[in-house]
Amino acid sequence: MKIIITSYPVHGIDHEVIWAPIAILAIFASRFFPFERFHYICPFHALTGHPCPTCGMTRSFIFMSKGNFKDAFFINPLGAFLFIFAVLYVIYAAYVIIFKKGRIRIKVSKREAKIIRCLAVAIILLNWIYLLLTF
Amino acid sequence: MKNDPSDKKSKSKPLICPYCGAKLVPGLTFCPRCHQKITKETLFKREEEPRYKREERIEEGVEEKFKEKKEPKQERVFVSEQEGTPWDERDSVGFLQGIIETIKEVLFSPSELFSKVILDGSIKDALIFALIVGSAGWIIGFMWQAIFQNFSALIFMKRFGPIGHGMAYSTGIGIIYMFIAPIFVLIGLFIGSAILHVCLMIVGGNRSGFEGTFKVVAYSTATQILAIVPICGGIVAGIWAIVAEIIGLSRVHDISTGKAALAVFLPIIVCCGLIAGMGVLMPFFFGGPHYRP
Repeated sequence: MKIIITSYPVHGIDHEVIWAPIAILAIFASRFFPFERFHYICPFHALTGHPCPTCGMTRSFIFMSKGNFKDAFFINPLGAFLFIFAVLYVIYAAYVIIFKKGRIRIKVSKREAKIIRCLAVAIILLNWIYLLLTF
Repeated sequence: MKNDPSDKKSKSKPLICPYCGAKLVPGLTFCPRCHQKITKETLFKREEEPRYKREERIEEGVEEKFKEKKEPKQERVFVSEQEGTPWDERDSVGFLQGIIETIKEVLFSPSELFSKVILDGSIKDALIFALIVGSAGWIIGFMWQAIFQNFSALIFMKRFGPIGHGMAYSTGIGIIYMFIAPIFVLIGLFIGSAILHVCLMIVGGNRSGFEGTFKVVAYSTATQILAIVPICGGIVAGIWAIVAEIIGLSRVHDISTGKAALAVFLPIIVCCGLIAGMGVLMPFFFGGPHYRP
């Protein structure tokens, strides 16, 4: 695995410009969008009686955006971590875009990419096990 | 003319774009893949330059700066022989393989796919692709919804009378959906492309015309296939469609990612701005409880 800082201007796709607005949208939506008015019921939960791997993700984002960290981590730890990652990413992206700095890029080999994918699946499964045990 | 070295070279070697390596059709003044202007001077100057020197220049970013100095508006060229998207080459790779490969490239390597989009003056092929894939995505999404609704109702509610009606209703709607999905996809494609193109014009990024924008939106519908994944598939498809559209616009119109992102997010920015503006101005017009003149 290699972490490199590219030169400015960015060659190829400027991922920071794409993902930062998406992260900002998610953060702002969780703070200001009236999700509670839409009584969404998870079909998986309705069908099986157990939470799905993403159950509580929206509520976790809403709690985090309102500063209620304890509830956010309780309801879906992965959602809370994702929110923190989104905030950090927005700060980093804003810095590199405004100050015209080089971007951080991670170069991974095929084997490393496979390991990362397996890790991601393992994290989602662990989070799901937590949800199944808690709710 | 007989002793012109460039003429000899053009006869012996196939013409290759010095910027992206695409095969050029003789007589072109413009690379149909990367949209760079091709002149005899640039073509053969680049060819004679040692490879290691070019790589150095690319690494130092000189190449990119050189690109930026090029004319912003370039004339459209219609080509006959050019490597296109897998869907464009479906006659050779096969119809189903063409669809699968194009979907794969939109999902996993959108930059490469959109670099291969041909601007030949026709939107027919891209439209057919979007109709097939977009409709399939819509129908699959609806099927998941119907399946979950019906089964959850059957298992938990135990009200067989209304459920029977509900299932019949869902099935009926599903059948109607199969026929009207292409119409919705078609309307959505044109309206979506038009809005996006207007936004692109506002940010000054329109270089390849409406055709380019339309093809980006059409190929981006391939992300709708993610609706196969139940529950979160729709959200992932929506986010990935935004990403694919930004990458596609930056490649097809040859503009920066920032401009492309601004064009895609402009409707959201305008809507949020309007809502925020209305929230601020409403009390002044209607005199709310806390209004002080």
